[in-house]
Amino acid sequence: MLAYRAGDAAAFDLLYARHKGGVFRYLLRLVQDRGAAEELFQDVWMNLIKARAAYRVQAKFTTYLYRVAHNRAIDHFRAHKGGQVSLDDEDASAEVLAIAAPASADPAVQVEHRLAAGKLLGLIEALPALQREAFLLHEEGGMGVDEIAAATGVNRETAKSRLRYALAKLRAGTRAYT
Amino acid sequence: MSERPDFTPPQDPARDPQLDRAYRESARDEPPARLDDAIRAAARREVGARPQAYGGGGLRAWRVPVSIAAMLVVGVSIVTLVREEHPEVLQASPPAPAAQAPSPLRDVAPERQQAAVDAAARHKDAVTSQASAQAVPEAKPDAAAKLREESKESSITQPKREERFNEQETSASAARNRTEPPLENARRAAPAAGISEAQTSEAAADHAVSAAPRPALRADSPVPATAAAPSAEGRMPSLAKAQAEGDYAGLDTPDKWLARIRELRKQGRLTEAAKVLAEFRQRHPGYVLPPDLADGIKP
Repeated sequence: MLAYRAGDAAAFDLLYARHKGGVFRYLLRLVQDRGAAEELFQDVWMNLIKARAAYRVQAKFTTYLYRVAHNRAIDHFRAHKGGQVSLDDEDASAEVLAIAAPASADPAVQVEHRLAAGKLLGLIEALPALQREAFLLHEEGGMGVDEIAAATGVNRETAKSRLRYALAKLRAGTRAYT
Repeated sequence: MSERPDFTPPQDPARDPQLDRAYRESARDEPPARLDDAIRAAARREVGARPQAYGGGGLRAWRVPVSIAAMLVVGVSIVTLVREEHPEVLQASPPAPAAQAPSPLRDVAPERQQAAVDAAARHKDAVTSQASAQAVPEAKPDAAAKLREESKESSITQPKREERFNEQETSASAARNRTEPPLENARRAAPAAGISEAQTSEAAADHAVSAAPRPALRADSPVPATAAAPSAEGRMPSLAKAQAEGDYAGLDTPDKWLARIRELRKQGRLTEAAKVLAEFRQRHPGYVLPPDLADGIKP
């Protein structure tokens, strides 16, 4: 990013090729809408390009990039509050869990329903949004607990708790269907 | 907390390899190509650069230094070659403005004109003396005979002597003209005098006029010292030699030499007799002189 800030367009091409898939899948799994994910994806990179001159090294670029994506997702959820989840409101956790929870009280039924499109992807989509985001940052961004906390703007314990719950649910779901 | 109380999360949130592998296999979504192109184009517009292949920056960065180094190497090579093969090109000073300009003499400053005229005059005198020295041997038969007659006949008048001198001068000038063209002499002397080619032409014309036959000197006018002195100086050794050769003509045996000496003594020409005797002693150093001629000879 420093090379691109200095005017090297090739550096941006390298950066984009390395992170485009992870960012896109993060947004796609988070908002669960391909059209919205593409729009958010383009916004993330455009914001990055426009903020080129003001870029300062404060953390890993991956953390910076996913922080931008996280903020864009929050903006998206705020604009579409009807039935959607706010990722920056920790107090709305109950609401998030309620909305993100399967419609059926039996998780196994919900997961079984999603496995038709993709077993694991169904499990991920069935996760609460905050836990899902932590898992996606962990898988797509290769982040640890501290980086997830920095990208999402929460403390380390919160990020650690979200990631633990996400992984535990996915393990339990995969064991049940294997 | 926000997590469900009935769910006990694992203590270690480390990666689950099986879960990671399963996720990589299932999650393969990529952004559409149109988004890729739009974003890359926007990035290039932002920095005002064209799309380029990876790794091309290195070659581009070396392009200017390599060009400068190549120019330096070629330039030094050319200078070195010229210095070794044609050193006069680098050492030659620009020609004098007067030599370059084909302007006539009137365009030159008066002092330069005077210097050119003086140089031409000096050159003319030098050429005259040189040509006289060279012309005498060629005109040897006539001049030697006339000088011999002059030495024999002491009663020759001064006007006749001057006429002979003028004739000798005329023949010397003709020989000088045959030896060197006046223009060549003037041009050869011009660089040393610092005069232009136009000035050289005028000096050559003047030289040609001076080389023409002079009018006969009047009987009452003395011979100019400036004109006669150099010619006489250059002419004396050769004339004496010619005269001596004429005096000793036919003296091929010692007896003839001795007869000649006796004859001169009888005529009262003791000085000439002594000269012939001295010459005989040089040519025949081992000959024993008869008693009548041995008197007066220094040991």
